[in-house]
Amino acid sequence: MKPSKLPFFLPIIVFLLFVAVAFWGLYAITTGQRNVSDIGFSMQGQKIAEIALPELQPASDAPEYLDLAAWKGKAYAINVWASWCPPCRAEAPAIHQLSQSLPVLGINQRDKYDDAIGFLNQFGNPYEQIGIDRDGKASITIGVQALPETLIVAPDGRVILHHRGPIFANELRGSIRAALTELGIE
Amino acid sequence: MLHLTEIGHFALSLAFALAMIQSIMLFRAGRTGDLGAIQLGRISAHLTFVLVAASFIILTIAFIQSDFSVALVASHSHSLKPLLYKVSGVWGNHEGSLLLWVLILTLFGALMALRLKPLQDGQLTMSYALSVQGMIVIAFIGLILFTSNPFERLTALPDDGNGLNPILQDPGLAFHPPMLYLGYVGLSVGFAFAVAALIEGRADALWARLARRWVLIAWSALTAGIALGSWWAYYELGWGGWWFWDPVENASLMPWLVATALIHSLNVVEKRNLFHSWTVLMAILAFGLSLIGTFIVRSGLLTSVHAFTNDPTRGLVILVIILVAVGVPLLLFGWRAGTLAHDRASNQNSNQDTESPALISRETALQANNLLLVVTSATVLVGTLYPLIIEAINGARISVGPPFFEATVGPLLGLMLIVMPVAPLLAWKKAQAKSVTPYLLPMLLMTAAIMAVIIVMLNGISIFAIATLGLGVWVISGVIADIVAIMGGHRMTIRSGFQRLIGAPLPRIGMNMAHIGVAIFTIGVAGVSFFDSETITRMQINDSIESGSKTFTLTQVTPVQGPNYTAIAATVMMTDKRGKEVALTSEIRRFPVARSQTTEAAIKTGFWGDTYVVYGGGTSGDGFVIRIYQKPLITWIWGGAGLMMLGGLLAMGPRRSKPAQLTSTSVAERHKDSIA
Repeated sequence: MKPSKLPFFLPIIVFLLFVAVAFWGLYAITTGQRNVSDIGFSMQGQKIAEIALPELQPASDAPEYLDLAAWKGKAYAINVWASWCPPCRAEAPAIHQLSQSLPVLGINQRDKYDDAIGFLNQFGNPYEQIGIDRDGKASITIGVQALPETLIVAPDGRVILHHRGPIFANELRGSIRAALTELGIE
Repeated sequence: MLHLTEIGHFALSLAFALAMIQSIMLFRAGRTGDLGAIQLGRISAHLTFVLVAASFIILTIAFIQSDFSVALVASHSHSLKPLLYKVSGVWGNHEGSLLLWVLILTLFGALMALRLKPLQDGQLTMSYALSVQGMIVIAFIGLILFTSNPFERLTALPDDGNGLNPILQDPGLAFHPPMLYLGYVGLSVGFAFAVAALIEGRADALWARLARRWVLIAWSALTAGIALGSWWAYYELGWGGWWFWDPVENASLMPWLVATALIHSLNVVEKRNLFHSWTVLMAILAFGLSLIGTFIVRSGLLTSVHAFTNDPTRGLVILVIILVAVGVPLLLFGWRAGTLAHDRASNQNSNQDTESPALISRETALQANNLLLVVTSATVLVGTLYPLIIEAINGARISVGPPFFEATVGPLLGLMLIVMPVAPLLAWKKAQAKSVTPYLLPMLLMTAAIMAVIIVMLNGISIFAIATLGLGVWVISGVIADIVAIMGGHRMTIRSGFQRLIGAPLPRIGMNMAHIGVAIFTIGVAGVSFFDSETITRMQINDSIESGSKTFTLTQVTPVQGPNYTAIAATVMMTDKRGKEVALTSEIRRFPVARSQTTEAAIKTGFWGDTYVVYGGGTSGDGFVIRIYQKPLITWIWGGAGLMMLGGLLAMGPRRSKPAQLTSTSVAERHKDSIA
């Protein structure tokens, strides 16, 4: 009796599945379909919800808050990050660059205090203020679904850019520059 | 005037053509045994290496001279960078690292050509293997020439370079990629042998013997490369972890696990002439996963700290190369693996005895080891790609973190550690209870006794800590048992025992050394995972704090000027119980060119663990933030990896020590022993 050849073809079948997923992943990026910034709804054009969060690094022993209401009247960016999120590490240089143009407020989501401080020590701290969002509810309130996300908010509280996913040089040159121009910053 | 880099580019193009000659000639040699074709193929393999080496040296010169007319140098180097990092800048980017990859690939090709001697056993297998190697060289030089030319020139000269990511300015990282590549690329030789076996339709003991050393050296280099990377992450990243389950780390772990399985199953092919098709599959997958690992780093498919580039178009080209390089062999595998010949007339050593092994035998133990390793590797692959798969299905973006990997990989490796020390004690074919229990019982007793002492001494440790430490001790007990077995078991006398130990075959010594390495690694992991401690505090100058059995005093905080950075340095004096003082200085460095900063932790490394001081900023008004970490046994992790690597290198030695190397008396004694 001749044994079946089928089991020997299993590896190639599994491998082709892998290639299919990888191909989709890349192809969808090139066509713009897998542009992380247009997955789900966008906060763009809407008013930012006024949240207040305890500060990660208060300057004194008294409790201090990152309060979006206090930022009304000024243009700013919000960047939601965590130390456990590799894309957040990748975008750290771009966030530093963004912080040269306008104040960036950090929301540290579902993180451990020490890990968050470690992240800041390693990659530097570009943030004007950092709020702690322990359970992710405040992030959801302002329309953030995943990490990292960045919002640019105009002085009247309107979100003029809602970017999902990490920021790289491309975004700095493209959508972010456009938003900054709209604010009259660049 | 002809610029030096144009010669480099030309040399690379010439190497591309020569690799084609190598591949075609040796394929012909494999089919016909044509001696002229073998010679031509060998010469081409040597020349390809020389040409690629020349172009690599030319690129290195461009980096050393800070020749900013070369686009790659302008975007990845800077005239202020120290020399070592100018050189390491060559492979600190996509194009240069690909060139390094090809350099190592052709180096292995040249070494294979040296071992390919005409009119020798296995010359046809070797010819096919070197032909397949040439095809890989063609694919990768093609990738460089057509998509990632490192010699591209700029028409407008910049004033200075764009620097280099400051995180990459560390000796650990300067040496980590070359070592890792040596491992990844070394696995291409085992892969080439596997494809050769499928083309020839034959995988037997001789085949396994030819492939064994190549796989061992690649495995050792991969072990060292991963350990160096982990050591770097621990030393450079300011928060003291040694493994982060980042996609890139996983990408190096997967081929390591499969290569480990390959080493063990090659052994079964060589000794028992079993597991042929499985072994061929392992060899294909080990290199296939190395390619997939490289692909994941470069394509922008998954985001990672280590990612050089986010270029999906280039990623698609690499994906096509992987599709051909792995897909064709796997298709060939499906086609021919069921009909691989197991013996060849010319091979006298071939073991014709192919009866199925019993349930309790070394074969089944090694089968269990192979299955566990492959399942672990598959688990890591699934965990790494899961976010992508979920996104493909419903567009949701999720992140798979360390908890998943710890919960899945931990138990799998734990199971493997249970089997590991038992396998060497079992006989091939069928293990006899009466020859195994005299070793197994003392092993169990030793493990139980040591664990009892540990549990009493470290009052109140968790069940996971007990299990992990216990597994480490269990593996050590197995190594002791095997050394006792080498020395003659219960018939051992001190004199004959040591003579036997000295005369023991190197592969067996290497195996025991690697297994000890695994045990020490496991104990190190237990120490770091279950017994670490940390203290975070704000201190003024001359403030003191107790942590563990030591006292820490902040003595000074001062600015420091480095070659291409400025820094604030905080010095903490550590005093132990006996009053011995050690100064620990941690720095926050700011790199003006790259506009970023890094933290240099101060680490006091000791046999029983590391003490780790990190300066976290602050002012004399508010106090300075000081973090103190104690990481017990962390060096055991790298020590264990080092022993694994040495074990792998030792295992490359000859299978049997030749009787001629022994003195006549010891031969007589051996004889006497075997009669007794």
